[in-house]
Amino acid sequence: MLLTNNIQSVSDSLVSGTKAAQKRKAVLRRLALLAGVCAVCFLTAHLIMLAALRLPYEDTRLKTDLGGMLVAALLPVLVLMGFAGRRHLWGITLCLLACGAAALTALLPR
Amino acid sequence: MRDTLRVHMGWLHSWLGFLAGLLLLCIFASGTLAVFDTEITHWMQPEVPLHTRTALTPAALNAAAQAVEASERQGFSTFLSLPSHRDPVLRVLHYDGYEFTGPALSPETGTSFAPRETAGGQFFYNFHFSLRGGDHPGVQLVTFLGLCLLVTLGSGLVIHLKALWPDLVLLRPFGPRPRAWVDAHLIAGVLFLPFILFMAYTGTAIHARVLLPAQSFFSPSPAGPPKKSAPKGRLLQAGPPLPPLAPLITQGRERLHSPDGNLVLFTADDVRIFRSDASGPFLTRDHADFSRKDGHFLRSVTRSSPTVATMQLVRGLHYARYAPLTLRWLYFLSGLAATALAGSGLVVFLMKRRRSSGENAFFRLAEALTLTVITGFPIATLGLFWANRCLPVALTGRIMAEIDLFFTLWTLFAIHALLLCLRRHAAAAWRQHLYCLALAGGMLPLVDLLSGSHPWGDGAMLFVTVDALAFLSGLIALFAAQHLRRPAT
Repeated sequence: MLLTNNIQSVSDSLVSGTKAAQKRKAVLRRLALLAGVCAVCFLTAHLIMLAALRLPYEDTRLKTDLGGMLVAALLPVLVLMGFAGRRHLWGITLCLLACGAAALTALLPR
Repeated sequence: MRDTLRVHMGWLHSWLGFLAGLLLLCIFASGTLAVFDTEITHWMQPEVPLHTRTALTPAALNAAAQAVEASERQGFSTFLSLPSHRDPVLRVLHYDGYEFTGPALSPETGTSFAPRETAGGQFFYNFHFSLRGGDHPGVQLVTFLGLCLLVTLGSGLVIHLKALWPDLVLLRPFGPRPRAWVDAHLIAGVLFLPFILFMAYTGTAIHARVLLPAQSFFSPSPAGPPKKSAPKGRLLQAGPPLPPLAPLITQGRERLHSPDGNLVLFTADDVRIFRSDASGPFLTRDHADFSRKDGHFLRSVTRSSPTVATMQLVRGLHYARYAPLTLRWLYFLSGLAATALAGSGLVVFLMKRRRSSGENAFFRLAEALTLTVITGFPIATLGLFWANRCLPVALTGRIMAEIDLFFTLWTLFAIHALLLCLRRHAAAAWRQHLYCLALAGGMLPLVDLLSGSHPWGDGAMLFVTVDALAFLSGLIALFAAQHLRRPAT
């Protein structure tokens, strides 16, 4: 009886230990995904600001203001999509595509 | 448990919302107060009579010009704020690094009202967009928090998209405590979602260039010769004596179709008369320029291309300087709802984790921080109002004394919260803070009356309103403290 109880408690603690480990692993995976998505999104935002400098206006402040409006709208949406799309990592792929498009717009000669 | 989209987004919403929410609550609260920044400055400067509503006379403008020249000789870049319906005095202002300060003159005679020096409503305005931290890191941090807020709102929408309508109508304030707090969080979030989303977006867009400067991180532009420019609010050299201002202002107002509340800026060569911010929802910077030497008209700068107009509208709607009183109250109430949303979100976060965390050290730290912002910030705010009435009127460096007192109070209450929470007396800390808030709010009208600065004629309504709102906040705090004495169901 005592042996059965001991085995039961050991197995319970093992199960709860596994659950905790699984939970920790899930949180770490989420954190890594969020960090990756944020890094790509901030790079995209920076490239958008650089691309905004190419707008055909004389006033630099107006260009950066317009870039800022775009960034404020796009960055949160990109972060959410990047974080939400986990199946086949389509979210972060989308972020990388946006980043690539922004890089081409900002860096290629006109 | 399956890691569904809702669970995934819920995790992001909870953690990002909590971490950003701690400061966002203070930003919401100070922004809400900043809607009435001019009125708060009036309350804090009772020496300035509010019945003055006369046309601007040449004598007053001459006195103002002399004050501007004197201020410029001290190296300040000084400007005039002409009387308006909202602020019926002539102000000679300069930027002190945080706020615009300076004497208030009678628009009729030009005599100075000699108001007490005070941080005024400008303090809350500055705190709202920079946490008094300047462009770096203050504005950068607030803009970053704005982005976090947008992500949090988006994730909140994803979580509650299915139940938006029930969330809108379901409020159970007398239900079990966690249920009541979640309902309050949802109802504030759903009902005021358009306002909060709009303000978060416009606020972030306005200052996004400070967070992400349009300068390559990878190949910084080669540094040119250092540009000779004065620090913000200072002058490199004073200009020649000013021409008579009255004819210039009449002409400028006609050209700009802006009859009152204009700003008049002075450079070494020009006198620039700006269109009033209250003229409409477009926050334009249209101005008419005159020569500083002889006062002849130089140019009129008006920009109204669709792109410029879009930015002007974004700024105008966020700053709400155009808003009449009724709309201003709507902004104020919506701001209160946003503050309640952040506050209830913080409380819900703690409630959900109180048992599961076993009240470990991190949880206790989180609770202390929550206490610091939910009760500590309003206590410090009311402390600023008390300081305005209790500090000697002629005290030198009065502005900084008020502000120092605000931050000292806030720090003291943060330490108090930390000490009690870490010793597992969080409930006592909540109650004690709420009683202090009740005392500070409830007694403010009495202090205002006893200070003898309360006018009973024109403008009394403003004083009564501020006192009544402080008293109401005290009553709410008292109710909450009494409610906390009862055991949770």
